[in-house]
Amino acid sequence: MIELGHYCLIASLVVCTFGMVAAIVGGVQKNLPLVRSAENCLITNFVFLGVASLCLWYLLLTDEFLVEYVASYSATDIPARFKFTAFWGGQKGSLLLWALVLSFFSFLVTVQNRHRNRDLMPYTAAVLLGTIGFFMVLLNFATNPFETLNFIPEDGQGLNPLLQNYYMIIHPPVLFLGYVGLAIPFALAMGALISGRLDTSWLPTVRRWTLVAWIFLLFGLTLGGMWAYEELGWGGYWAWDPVENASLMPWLIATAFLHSVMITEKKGMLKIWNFVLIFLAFELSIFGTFITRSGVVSSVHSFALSSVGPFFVTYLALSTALGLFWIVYRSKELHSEKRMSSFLSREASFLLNNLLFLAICFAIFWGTVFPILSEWVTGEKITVSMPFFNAVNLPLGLALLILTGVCPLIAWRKSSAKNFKRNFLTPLGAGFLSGVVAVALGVRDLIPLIFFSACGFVAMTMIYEFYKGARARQTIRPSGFLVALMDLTLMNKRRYGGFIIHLGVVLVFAGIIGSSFFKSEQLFTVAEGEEFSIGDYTLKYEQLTSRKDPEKEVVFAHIAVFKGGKKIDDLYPQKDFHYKSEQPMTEVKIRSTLKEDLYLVLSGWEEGGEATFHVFINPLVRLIWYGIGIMVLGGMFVLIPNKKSGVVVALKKSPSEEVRDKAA
Amino acid sequence: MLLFLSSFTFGQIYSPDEAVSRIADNLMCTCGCPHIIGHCGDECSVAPQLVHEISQLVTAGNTEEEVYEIFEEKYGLRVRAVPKAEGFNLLVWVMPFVGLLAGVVVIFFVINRLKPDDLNQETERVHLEIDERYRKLIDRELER
Repeated sequence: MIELGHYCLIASLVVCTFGMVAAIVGGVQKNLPLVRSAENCLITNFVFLGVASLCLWYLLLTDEFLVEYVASYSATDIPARFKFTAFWGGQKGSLLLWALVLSFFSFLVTVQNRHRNRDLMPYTAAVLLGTIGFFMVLLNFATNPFETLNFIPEDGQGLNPLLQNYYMIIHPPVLFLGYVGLAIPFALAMGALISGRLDTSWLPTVRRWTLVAWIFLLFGLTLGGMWAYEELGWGGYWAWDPVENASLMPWLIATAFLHSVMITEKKGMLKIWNFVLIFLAFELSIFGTFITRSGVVSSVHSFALSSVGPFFVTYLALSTALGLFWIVYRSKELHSEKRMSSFLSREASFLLNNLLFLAICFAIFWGTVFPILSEWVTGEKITVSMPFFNAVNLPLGLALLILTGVCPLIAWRKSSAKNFKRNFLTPLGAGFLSGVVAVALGVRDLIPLIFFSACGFVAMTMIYEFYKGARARQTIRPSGFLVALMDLTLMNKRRYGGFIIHLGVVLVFAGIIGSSFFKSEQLFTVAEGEEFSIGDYTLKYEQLTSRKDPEKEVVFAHIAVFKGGKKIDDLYPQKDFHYKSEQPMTEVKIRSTLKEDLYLVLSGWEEGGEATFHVFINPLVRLIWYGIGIMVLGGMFVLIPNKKSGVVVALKKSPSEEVRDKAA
Repeated sequence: MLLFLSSFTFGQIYSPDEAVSRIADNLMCTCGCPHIIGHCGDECSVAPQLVHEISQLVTAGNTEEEVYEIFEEKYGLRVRAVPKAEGFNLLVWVMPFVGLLAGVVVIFFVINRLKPDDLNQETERVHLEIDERYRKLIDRELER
């Protein structure tokens, strides 16, 4: 298996190199067999990397400790599921996973575009093969997962206990699907620039791929947040850690692109801008991998450090230079077909939306890299952490939230004072009402009040859009309101799917504000049988016990939870002591309701059974998870193809495709 | 066994008041983690000591800024969660807003390149070619 894995990696590198050359030559010479050969390389490559990955999984599951990677990230006593996930527990496996996912997506793109976007495909294939080739160089020469030791250890070192968590089974691969997904729009955009096919007919393919990546990134980020919330034990879900930031940045840029591409498809504007966003999203995904792997900044993800940083910097520089060169080269052909009509138009509001996404991304990027920059300039090590990111992103986030509500209310081209007044009245009323309700519920601080009012405004805008659309539908085709609403939503999945996503955004903002501004926490040291109170809850510390599991020793406290004098739950916060790890691990216990989370941490204990608990009340956290769930579902809804899409695609065939079809 | 295991946990509590909490949220833990003191996990044995230290300094009558200064002197510049806004480090605060401002200026120039007449003529031409029923629908849609 070790040899087979080795040979597959070598074969993949050879196939990538041959395919890349064949794609470029085939594209330049319009040599279809060569181009097909290159595309077949993408498919073959997936097979090679699939086999290599299966080999690594086999080695992990069979405890083949001769392999350095298996000895470093697995052990005989860890459960099989964690042996399976040890595949992405370290750098070598993670990079193999990157390449595997990219080769799978490349395979899909090849199949998807067998008869579409033919002008782009040679160069798209070349870019994809080049990117996979980069990872193959790393995996073959710098960080080979099949590298063996000079001896066979009795047992492996095991997986970091922090990673032995059910979120870690799924968080890294999902995030990788998002990161890697952004390589496809990049490759397609490069294909369009190099081939000179600069109309908008290929944009739906790019938009869909970006949306796929966007969904995976969002889901991956959320799983990471949930992991931090449940595993790290500090009562929060987002710490503005550099690696978290690195995952958020490409998502922000992908979101900006998904908005601006609408302007391009509808109005033929912002073409250069879209290319810039596609490239930026991809480069930031590589930058994210670089940040995680290089260790240039201090992070909670420090278990993934290594020396592959310079490789990533080189690839980052090369791909950026290539992208910029082609944008500049084609800039004259990328002029907008139409101009902006007014500051008070939907186009302008979309531009402003893009600006805010970029500003947030830039602020995060700046805060993340500033310590390195400052050290270069001043020679002193500094830190830029949570207070900076919160302070800068609070006003920008508020502006973005408000704009989410404003955009759909402004007409394309130019809004008149009349429609402005008519459209804004109801949502503004709802915003005001939300503020009043918040005050009635006891909110007194200005910032949360503004945010909750903005949430009400945006939510009503979205609901009102559904309502207006359904009513208009009823006038065209008489039916019941719900049928009209269903018809309307299914007929225009993109528009109304977008509104569903925005409703999710409202919940996320409400949850973030609730859990940030109204969080309370307290430390209690109590004896067995003693009660203590926080918020509406009374907690009774019953007893402290321990048990021995095969891979760890667990100490847990029994806490009875009372509310209004009635027992409502039993919680068992615990500390795990893994035999191979020198650090204790906190296992938080959470009683979650829509209103708030009771978050319980067993901090320590002393002679006589006295124990210390760190207790948090985190309001509205569930809204964040629900909101993101709605956003993901909304994104998936947008991805469902429209029945008419085949017709639209047929109408949008490029001239060369039409000639070829006629000839056929 | 429980006693032995308890030696790995901090066990000792300090009840930080609001000022202490605020200061702890602006200072980094010195255990080597990338977290502010308030967010360093419950396994950390350093964070509680730092909170205790802050608490003592506040009780002794030091202002918030004085506590930061004392910590900076003792643990180095990195202990501040955000550098003091002076000298080169002022840029960390300034640049995001300079970037935003630059973006606003760019948008202003993009939108100012108007050709409203072309658009209006185009719209009129389209209107003449479609029937009255659809024109009303389109007008309604555009007004939304």
